Amino acid sequence: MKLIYLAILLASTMVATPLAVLAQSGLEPTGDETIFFRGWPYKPDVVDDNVNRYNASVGGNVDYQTVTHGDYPSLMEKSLIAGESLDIIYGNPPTAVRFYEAGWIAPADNVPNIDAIRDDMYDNASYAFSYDGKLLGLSYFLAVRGMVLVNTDRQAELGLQDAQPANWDAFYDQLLELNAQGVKDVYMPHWFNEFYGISWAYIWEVLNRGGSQIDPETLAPALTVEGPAGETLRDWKAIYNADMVNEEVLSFNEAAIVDAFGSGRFLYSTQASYNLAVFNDPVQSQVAGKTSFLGFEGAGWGLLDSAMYLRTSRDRSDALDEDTRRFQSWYGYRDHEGNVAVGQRWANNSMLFSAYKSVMESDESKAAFRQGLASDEDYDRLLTLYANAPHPHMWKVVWAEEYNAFLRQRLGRFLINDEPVEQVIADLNADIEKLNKKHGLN
Amino acid sequence: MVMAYPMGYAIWLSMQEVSFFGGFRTSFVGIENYREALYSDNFWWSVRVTVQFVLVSVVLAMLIGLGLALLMHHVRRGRALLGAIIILPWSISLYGAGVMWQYLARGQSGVASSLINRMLGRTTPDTAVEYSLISSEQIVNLLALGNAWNLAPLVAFFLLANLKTIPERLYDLARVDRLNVWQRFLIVTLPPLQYTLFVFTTITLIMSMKLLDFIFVMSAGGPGDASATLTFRLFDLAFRQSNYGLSAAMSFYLLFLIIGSALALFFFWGRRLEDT
Repeated sequence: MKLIYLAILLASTMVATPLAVLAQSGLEPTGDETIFFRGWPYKPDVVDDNVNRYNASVGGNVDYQTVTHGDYPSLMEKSLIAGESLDIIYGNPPTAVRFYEAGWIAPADNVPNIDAIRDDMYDNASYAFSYDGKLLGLSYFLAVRGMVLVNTDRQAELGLQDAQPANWDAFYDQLLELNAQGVKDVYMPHWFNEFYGISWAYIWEVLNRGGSQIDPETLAPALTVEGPAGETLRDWKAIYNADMVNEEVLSFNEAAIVDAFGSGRFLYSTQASYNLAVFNDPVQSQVAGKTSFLGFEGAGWGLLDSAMYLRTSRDRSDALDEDTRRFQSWYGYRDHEGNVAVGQRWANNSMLFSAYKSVMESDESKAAFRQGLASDEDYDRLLTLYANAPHPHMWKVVWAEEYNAFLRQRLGRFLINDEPVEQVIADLNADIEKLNKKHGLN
Repeated sequence: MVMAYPMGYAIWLSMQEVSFFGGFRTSFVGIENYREALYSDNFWWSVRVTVQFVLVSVVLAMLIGLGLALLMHHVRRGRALLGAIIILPWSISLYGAGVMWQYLARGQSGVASSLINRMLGRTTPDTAVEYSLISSEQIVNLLALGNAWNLAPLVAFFLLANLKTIPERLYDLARVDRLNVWQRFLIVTLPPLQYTLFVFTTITLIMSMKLLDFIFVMSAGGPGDASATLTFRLFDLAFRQSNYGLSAAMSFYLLFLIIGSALALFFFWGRRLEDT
């Protein structure tokens, strides 16, 4: 008889414990209305699995689908204009600012556990994710985009181990010198034809050289022919006209430049930090264990790339609104068991950085990041680079996406037609003025 | 109503400046968007690209379609299998076709590089050369070839149906008159096909002018804006740059171009067919 009581007690405990945790977490849905979750197609199987876990473990009703290939910000914007039923969506900071200004998303300041979320966030992530004093969304990922990866085999072959450039000027000087010596396949730039391709490359190079597209206070155009903007264009023109970059790169997507550098042909390539895990994986690349990068030596390389889980502001019932906030917190921060499960999973399997100290400083993340690097020393170098990656101020302006679309085509035309730097700078400044006028900003 | 509402809305939109920020609002700007389009270098560049793309597409689609129709008409064995193979490109989505053509045309992994290296006997990565078809000089022709590849099967099957209606005795008479193959094609085969050729020239012309998805996937208007046709420019202005008024105004110029081209085709070719 005692055994039966013991068995009942044990069974009750097994059932009651998760329910108790669930009840305490405050993240379980209050109703059974569907939450619509949409994002771009990066590892949708992983996202699907995370969503299934939420649905199964807390009785949620989340419908997840990806937005098909293409320009995600513009496709999502049209969905929001059309009034589609969307609740949680992916978004980069400039997209989030735009959607917030249009009234399509709600700040994340009132999600469950917001105080803990704020405390756990790094300052640079908090700055990137905030606008007008409000936190626009919760952390999906962060990365350094625009860091210069190095194929260490080719570097050794060319005797360049002790000649690592410290900034963009020195970098282009070295490229041209190598080209003059007849060295081929020196550089695969980040000039691909996606919304975060060539236009972002221009934005970060100008930033890294100490310049900016706009004045942060007045939003007036700040590009000058003699300053960082002009210097960047002159360097691009020099390597393009020296036939160091094939024209077809201007029609590539990100996967194509990853394939290109992964083939082992190129000495350098500007890439996103999470691709280090791809390049240093022998299954996916021919430069596994041989992909390092140029470190921070006073001047940055690239920018802080990031994305958030945003909550739309569509008309919802109170119950669904509450459930959406709970799901946003569960998915974008800690789950019902108190773990930053989704963020940690991205760190472990894709080398995506997180806004949260609890993820970035965990032993799990350290081990995972080290696995994606060519050497142990690269771990600290990578974190230094990450800490110094800037968030462009112009991404805090409502027209940033519109300017980005213009920039993308204008830069391609500049290279192909060998146009004067002065003309491009004048056109970019004129476009910024036009956009300021259009949005009534000065 | 199906036509009137979107058309009316587009006319209204083309005379507005639209903003979604700080609440949806529009302001009437009259014909300013139409004027801005005409003064825009980008617009005229896209008109040029569109005309080149359409001309090459139509010529290639009709030639390839005619060639395939003649092939199917004369093949005695395996006609069903041949027909099934020929129709395949038409059954592939333009999205899928765009992805495939992009891979084929690339320098590092494309067919052109592969063929050139095979001909030159260069089989190792160190000695291989790259020949990319994705360049600003060739991209429009390449897109037109891909478009024609997609459209030609449809042309071919309609021409084949037409070929089947030509009485065999006309060919017998031609042989009696000792006409050679080329003369038989010009005098016996081609005249009955003229009406179908005219109809499909018009159809392929209109379909090519309003094509977007294949261009979007394969080149995204690039490199730079080397393949930014009018449809791509409209998409870019409306959906990336949120310039709905200007995009709507340009869309009417595209409409005029489509209607004008179709009417010109009828005036110079279709009308003569009616007279005969």
